[in-house]
Amino acid sequence: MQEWSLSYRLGKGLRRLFRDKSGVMAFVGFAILLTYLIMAIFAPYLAPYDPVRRSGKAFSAPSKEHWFGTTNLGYDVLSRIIYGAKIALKIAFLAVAVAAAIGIPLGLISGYVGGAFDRILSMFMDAIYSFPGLILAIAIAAVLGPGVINVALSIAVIYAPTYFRVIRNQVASLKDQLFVEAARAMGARNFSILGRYILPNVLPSVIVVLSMNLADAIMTEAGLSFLGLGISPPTPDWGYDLSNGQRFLLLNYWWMILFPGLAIITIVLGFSLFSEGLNEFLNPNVGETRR
Amino acid sequence: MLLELKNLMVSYKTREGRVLAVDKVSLPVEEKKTLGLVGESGCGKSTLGGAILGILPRETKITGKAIFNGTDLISMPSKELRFIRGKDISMIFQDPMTSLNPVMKLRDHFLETIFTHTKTSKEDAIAMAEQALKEVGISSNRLNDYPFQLSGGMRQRVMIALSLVLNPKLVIADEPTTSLDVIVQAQILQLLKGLQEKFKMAMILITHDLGVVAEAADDIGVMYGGHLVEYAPKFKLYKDPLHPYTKDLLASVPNTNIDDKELRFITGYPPNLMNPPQGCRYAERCSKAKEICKQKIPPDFYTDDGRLVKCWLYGEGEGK
Amino acid sequence: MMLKVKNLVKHFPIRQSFVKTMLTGEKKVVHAVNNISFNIEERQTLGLVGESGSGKTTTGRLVLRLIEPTAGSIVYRGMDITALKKEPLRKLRKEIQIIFQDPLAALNPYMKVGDAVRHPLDIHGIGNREERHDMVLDMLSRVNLEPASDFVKRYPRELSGGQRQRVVIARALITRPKFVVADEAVAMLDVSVRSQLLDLMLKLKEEFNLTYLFITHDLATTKYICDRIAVMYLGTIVETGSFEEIYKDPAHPYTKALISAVPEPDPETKKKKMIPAGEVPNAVDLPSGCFFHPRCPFAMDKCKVEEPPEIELSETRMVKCHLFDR
Repeated sequence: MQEWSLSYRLGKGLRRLFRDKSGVMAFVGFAILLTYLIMAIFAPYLAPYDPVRRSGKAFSAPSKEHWFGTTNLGYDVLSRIIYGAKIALKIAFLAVAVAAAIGIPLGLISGYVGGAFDRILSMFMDAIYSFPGLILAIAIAAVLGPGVINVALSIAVIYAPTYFRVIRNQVASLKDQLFVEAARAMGARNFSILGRYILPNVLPSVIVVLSMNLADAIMTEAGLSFLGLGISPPTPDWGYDLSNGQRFLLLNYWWMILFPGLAIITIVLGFSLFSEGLNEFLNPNVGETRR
Repeated sequence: MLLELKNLMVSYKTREGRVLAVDKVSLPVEEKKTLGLVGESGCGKSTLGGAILGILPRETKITGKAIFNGTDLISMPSKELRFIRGKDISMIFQDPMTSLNPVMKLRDHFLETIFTHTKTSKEDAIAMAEQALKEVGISSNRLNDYPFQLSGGMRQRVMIALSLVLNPKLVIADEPTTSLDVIVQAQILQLLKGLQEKFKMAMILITHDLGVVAEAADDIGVMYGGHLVEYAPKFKLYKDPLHPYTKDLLASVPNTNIDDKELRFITGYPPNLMNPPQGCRYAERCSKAKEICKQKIPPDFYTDDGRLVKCWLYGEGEGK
Repeated sequence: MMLKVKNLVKHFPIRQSFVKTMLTGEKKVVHAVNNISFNIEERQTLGLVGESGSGKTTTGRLVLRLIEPTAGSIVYRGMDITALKKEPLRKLRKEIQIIFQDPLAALNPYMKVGDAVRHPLDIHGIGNREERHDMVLDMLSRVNLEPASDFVKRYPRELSGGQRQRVVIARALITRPKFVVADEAVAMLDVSVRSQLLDLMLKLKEEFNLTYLFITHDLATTKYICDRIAVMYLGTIVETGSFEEIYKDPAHPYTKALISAVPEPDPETKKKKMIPAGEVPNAVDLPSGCFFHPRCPFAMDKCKVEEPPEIELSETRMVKCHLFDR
């Protein structure tokens, strides 16, 4: 699935690093995510300054007053990072929720029904899937214009096919399983076969894809904002801050670019760790013995 | 004696904990003879076969000795063991479909095996392969076939030819006929017996089927819950089983005696080796269990005629 | 009469390329079941014995209409179920049930034992919440999964193979079916557990007045449970009779081979082996005449061209072989 995605490759590398310690992986990932979540929720209490008001001299290096320094407009970088978590997570969760809400039901039906319906829908989804994600998102975002909802929607469009494909392929193989035949032999209706026998078996991989996609969604959102297609300034946003800081890189104001960059990297790492750890953890038949 | 197992212990780790799959098994394998190793799933018989060949996962802990032709296989570095494996000792697996590489022609399977162990010219190697195929009743023009072009029985014949091509002294056959139908099973068993006599090799035949060992083995070891509970020559074992488990097991095999319609079975289930019982593994299902059986693992008792039985009924106190 | 199967045929189409179909003009099929007929009396057990590829499993699926027959009729208690529409067939399913070979695969890994066994009651709307719960507990203790209140909370992976098969049996029988197909129900279990399960199936047969179609590759197990046996080869029934009749004096050469090939758990047995060469041919291009003639040691010229008729040897005995032509 999504071999090109950064978080997928990152996840594979991490898995090699941690070997069998899936629990440790999931825990470290969870700890990182929890930190960002707390930052997002309690931003007004945690941030030392207002992120969109001048709080000191422009371009001041990290100091006691401004731990992460200030921007070209004299905004406090640390406060912007804390508030930025709010935007990043909001868009990511919204985008992934929309993508899942489209992709999962379609995948379930398409895989179970099969036939021409399945073939046409799969073709359509593959067509979307074959676009490079960021470029498609740029195109949609350019049409829709900036704003939280619009950015989330344009990201959702590129991830919906992922859910569709993962779910559809699993359902297509699950429906030939013996326990599904058993359910039919009991006289179960299609609806209850889908809901009680097939869905629970695809749910673990959905959860894994979900947390993996959250990481990618944050990357894409940062990318869009970096290109000026995301959230309009001065709303605190990591991708925008990164692109803003990059303009002053030659002047050696490293803190303007280092800290937003670090924020993006660590949150993606957190999601990747969490999803890989979860993947191992949720597989029900590990350690299975037949007697 | 070709191979002697001494206090062989194998344990491996799973997510839920350590499993003692084989617990202090001592067994002889005589030259040119077939040792049948029977037991139900999870009794450790396959693990035992894998331990001899050193093909178990790296995390597995193996202690004890397996002395083959005077050298201990267990303490041997894996580099040296590789030269023995496939040449002096070879293996036949249950499912020939998964043990043959689907994208390799039969010819390449043979060449790989031959070139790993000998320095032969390609022509000689192919001649060897053709001869081996002939022995198992497959025409040599099938050397260019892929495994999927063969039927299940033919694939098992190819596996056998592969395991014999270098004239091993010992063949370990792990459930070689389990995935086959009865008629093909009978064909393969006949073939194995004929080849064994012709090539004068010893065999360890691992199976759950008491009918198969009755037909193909000379001596039989019965395993239960990681223990070797009984070892005896075939005729003695079937005529006069000593261990209660062997007795119960033999009684519960569906036989084809028309007048005997009573269903006999062993109540309960085999023990969980993650958390094995303190005493004899069979104690909780055994009708003859005494107090000591539940508390202490019985030692290996040897009868006067050289049979082994691991049961408190056959001796008190020390044993041997 | 519980079940009357007449001239049942099932062909499975083979997937092949469109171009090939165009060029050769023919569609190849697997002839899984070729024109078989049999009856099962109420409260009797018919054993369907055969090797893999004999069509026995397909037959079991067909009589429950889990797959659609190509031709033929299946009459269950006077009602032709091949003509049944979707909804009445679904409702009928509480009366006709199946026990599968692999209990681990037959159970949803994410469903607790209690939910799995209760689900047929939910589907057919039998009883209210509490009644269903009590019925599940009762059923579990009838299949000796005790304490039942403990087993309802467990997942299939936490059980042993024998216990899982007991769950599958409990699920199949909770709606009190009258007819049950047991498809290799004990084949995957260990010897000591296999007899336990056979014993349980016998006990339940008495308790619930069941009629079984017992599908197996193992002739020896049919002795304990079957009233009659039908031996299948390449999708046809070659011989029927009681276990005694067939075992003491097999008529068809294939039955003879099958019986002689079973390894006896007794080294002193002096059974003469009659092992035919080769393996069961594929069911795409069936042999001409009698399907067994290429492997049959008694094959005559007639066997190569003419399909043998079903010859009645006695009231209970049928054989499909030219050796018995009158």
